[in-house]
Amino acid sequence: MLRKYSNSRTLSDNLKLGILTALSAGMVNVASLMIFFSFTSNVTGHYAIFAEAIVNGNLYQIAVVFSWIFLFFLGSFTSNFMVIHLSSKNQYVAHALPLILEIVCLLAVGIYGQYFYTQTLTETEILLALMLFAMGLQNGLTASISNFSVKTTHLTGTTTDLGILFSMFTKAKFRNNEELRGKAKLLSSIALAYVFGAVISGYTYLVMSFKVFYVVCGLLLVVIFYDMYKIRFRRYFYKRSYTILSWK
Amino acid sequence: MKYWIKYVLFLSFGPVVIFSLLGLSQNPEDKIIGTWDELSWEYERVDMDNAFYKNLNKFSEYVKVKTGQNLFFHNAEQWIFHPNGALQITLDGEQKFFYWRLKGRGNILEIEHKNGEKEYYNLTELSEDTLVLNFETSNHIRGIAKFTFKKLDKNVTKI
Repeated sequence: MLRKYSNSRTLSDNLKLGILTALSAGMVNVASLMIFFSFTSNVTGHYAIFAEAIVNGNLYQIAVVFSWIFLFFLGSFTSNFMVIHLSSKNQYVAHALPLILEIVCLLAVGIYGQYFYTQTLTETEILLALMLFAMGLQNGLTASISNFSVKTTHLTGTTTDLGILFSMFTKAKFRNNEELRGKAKLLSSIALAYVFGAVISGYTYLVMSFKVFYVVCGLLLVVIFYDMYKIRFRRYFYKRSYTILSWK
Repeated sequence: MKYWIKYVLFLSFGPVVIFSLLGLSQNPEDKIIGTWDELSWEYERVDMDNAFYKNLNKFSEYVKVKTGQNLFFHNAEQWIFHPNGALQITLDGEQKFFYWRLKGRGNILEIEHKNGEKEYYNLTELSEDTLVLNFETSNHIRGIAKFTFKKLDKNVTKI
């Protein structure tokens, strides 16, 4: 999921990464909506609110909403910065670091919410800011390593692309194009995973409250450890084969 | 100018703007503290026909009574927001106590009853002397009801 970069990625790599990260984004977004009454995985709405706050001259809301948009941007910036500057040293670590940072942010939200949250507005806004930064990190990473094929924190582009693809499929030459069919499969899976994550989050929040963020962290750990396991397994396999060949 | 200096300047522009704006504005949690007197209770119906418009005041009164049957605060005269999250409401001459909190970006007012039940209002306007709250009514009486308050006293202490 994380080892490969850009065009060397297969559809299967993108599917696994897309489904798991879309699940986590859907969960985070609904959890934030239910707890804090604000979206955290998409910023289009925040841009509209930002414009409205400017029109109304509401300085406080301009500051808050601008800080959220800025943090989403900063998350995406940080992700790609790590990917392009650290990949030459260790590609897997460069791709895993943004996810580790995202886990730290979401874990902080979960722990703070569970043990320290007194429901003041400042706390609410800081926790939302952390979640927006985390979602920026995730979106920046998936888009960066998949050559912009996998974007999982919002579905506007996904829905647009799906609409275009399904209209293309009315022609046989596009319908039989394996690449386009694969793209449609990927985008549909991302949309379904996002909705599934959102629904699951809605139910789990009622039972688990802030602990729902630990579940999201668990999903992201699966993404990280899946590749780590594969790398170790390969190393072990090659070492073993080499030893057997040396004996012969 | 070296490219990394440009980046540092560009990235520090965001926090500078944010903290400057925060310094110039007042936190809604501080702004809402005080004694608020209910001025009006309006009902903005989405698909109202012209016959209703002719008698708007009468209609608003009627809806207030009908819609408000299920709302706790429909008879409230005065709301006192205390700094520690306590909300004191004068209800038919009697004092009732609740908890208040602001959510989202300061646009949602949450009111919690002592039994844990919660009500949510959209904080549409909050200025030095005006507070406007909206809430959505049930589907069969489509529309949005609006409370408007005028600030009577800024200085309220913790209770």
